[in-house]
Amino acid sequence: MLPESGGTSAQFVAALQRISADLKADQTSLPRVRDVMPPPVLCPGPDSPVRFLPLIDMTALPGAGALRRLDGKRWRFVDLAAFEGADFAYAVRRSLLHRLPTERDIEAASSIEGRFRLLLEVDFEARRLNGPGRLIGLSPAKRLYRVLRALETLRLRPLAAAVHALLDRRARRAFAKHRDRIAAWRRRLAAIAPPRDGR
Amino acid sequence: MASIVVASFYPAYPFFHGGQRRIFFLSRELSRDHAVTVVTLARGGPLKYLEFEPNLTIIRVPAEQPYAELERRQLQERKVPPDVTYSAHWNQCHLYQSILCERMRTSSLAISEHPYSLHAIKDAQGGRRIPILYNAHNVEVIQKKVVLGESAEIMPLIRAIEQEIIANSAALAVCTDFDRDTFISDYAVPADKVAVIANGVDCAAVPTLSAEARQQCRRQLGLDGRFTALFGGSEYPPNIAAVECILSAAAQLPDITFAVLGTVCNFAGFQRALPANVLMLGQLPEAEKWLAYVVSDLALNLVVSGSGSNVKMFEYAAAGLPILSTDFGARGTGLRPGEHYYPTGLEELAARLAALAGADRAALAQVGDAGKRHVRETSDWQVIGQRYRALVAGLIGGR
Repeated sequence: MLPESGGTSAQFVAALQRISADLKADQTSLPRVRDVMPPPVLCPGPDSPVRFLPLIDMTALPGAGALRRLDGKRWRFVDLAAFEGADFAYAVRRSLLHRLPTERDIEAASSIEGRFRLLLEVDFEARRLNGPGRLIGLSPAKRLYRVLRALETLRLRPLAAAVHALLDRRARRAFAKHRDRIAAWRRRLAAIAPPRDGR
Repeated sequence: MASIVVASFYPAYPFFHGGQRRIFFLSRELSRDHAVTVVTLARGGPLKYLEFEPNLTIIRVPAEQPYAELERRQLQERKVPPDVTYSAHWNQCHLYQSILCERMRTSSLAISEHPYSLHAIKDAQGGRRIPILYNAHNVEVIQKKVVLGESAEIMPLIRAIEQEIIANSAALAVCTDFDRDTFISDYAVPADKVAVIANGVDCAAVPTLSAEARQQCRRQLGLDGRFTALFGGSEYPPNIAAVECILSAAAQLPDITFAVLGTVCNFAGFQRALPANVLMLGQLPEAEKWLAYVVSDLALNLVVSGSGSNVKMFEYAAAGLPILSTDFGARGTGLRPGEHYYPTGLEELAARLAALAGADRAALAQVGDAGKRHVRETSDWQVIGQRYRALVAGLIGGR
């Protein structure tokens, strides 16, 4: 094993590994670790299905075949629209910006219209900050949202209210149009992360 | 049970370096009383959420690519160490910062491992003001001087960073009396704000081998009949200098086998023809590292500079190895020359090694046993942890 007997350091290490594996486990007591997958971070609670959304492409998900096509960068409306309430606010902020939602975000996510505007707002912010995620699709709504922001900046309130109403209408239309896909996505999420208490 | 968040800009598990062991084991000790989450920053790899008994979670968060690239450029082009880069650009680690914020929403205490996480912690506090404990692994200006050199342009910045965390911390946990005295004299820290929480060792991790099993292992490793001296360390200038001393001694002592463990083996200067009796084993998993310890005859610590204390000394002693060490290498360990270790200077190393290789093994074992008893009584992390838990209890108070 030693260099002078023809062995090398690599062979010595290999022998150490073999011997170590052969030794009984009770001969040493190393800290035992439990690897929790997916990591319950940036989600409303440890059981929230939001934890299954990939945070970055380096996040490996176990057995979540249904979510495997998500790359942690490009998000479609239906990927996020399947969530509601606090789950939605967390899913959007976390996916597009790697950030936590504010109380205002969570409040906004209680209605369809609020969720739609929050999604557009966070996407706008993610693009401005060159954040890690992007919302793909919904181009007309994104343009309307930019107009809304410009009008709000200029304090043109009546016009802003009109655009606001247009966006609300688009929100209802988007959720209605994708109702079946959203429902299918929810079923897949529920299969991966069964809700507790029969929710 | 309170919630405590520990911020570290480098991973704490799996642990390979002394600093990582300090973070892991002290956090685990705190988790006997509290829910402890260590949020660590990794360069690559997956996001990990690791749970340990009794109540410790380690979250390993990969830095985003742009930050990793910035850190690499700063190091290569401007020789700025990654920790200093992090202290200035922490807000570019978006995912890490968000997770730190999330965990700190309900925490009663934040612990900064090293001085570089202060701004990240303050940002994550939001409007809440909770005490910050600075776990000082070294006196940073001394440690960095060793790495960067006295004249490095960045030294005033490091002093400022260290000054700032001291000013913002409710208490400091330091490794040695020397570090405590340095903080008091150089930074005018009030004495009652500094607690010596020495480094230690996880004695339970040391494998128990019968004399026969040990002998069989040595045979399988080709060490039978050969006196074997071991050194372990990370790739850090004082360790690199120590290995150079070992290589020089090895050339004069062909009948002794020298095993070198740890990332110090990665140092580019060691990728050359080395004496045939030197084994460069590199970074080993814990079980194999401990096995290498218990099959060796002597441990070496030839470190003559640095700050904090050398965790390797506690580990050598816990493994029952007789130790040949510089007095500097034994600082902050409580191990006494002659009783718990054989003292040596660097010039006399080869002669001291030759003498010990030819010495009565029973006498060597006696010194090894004395060191082992000493660290079991005084330096097991569970013993060290009692002081640390008391320190933290005082900071959290009624929270």
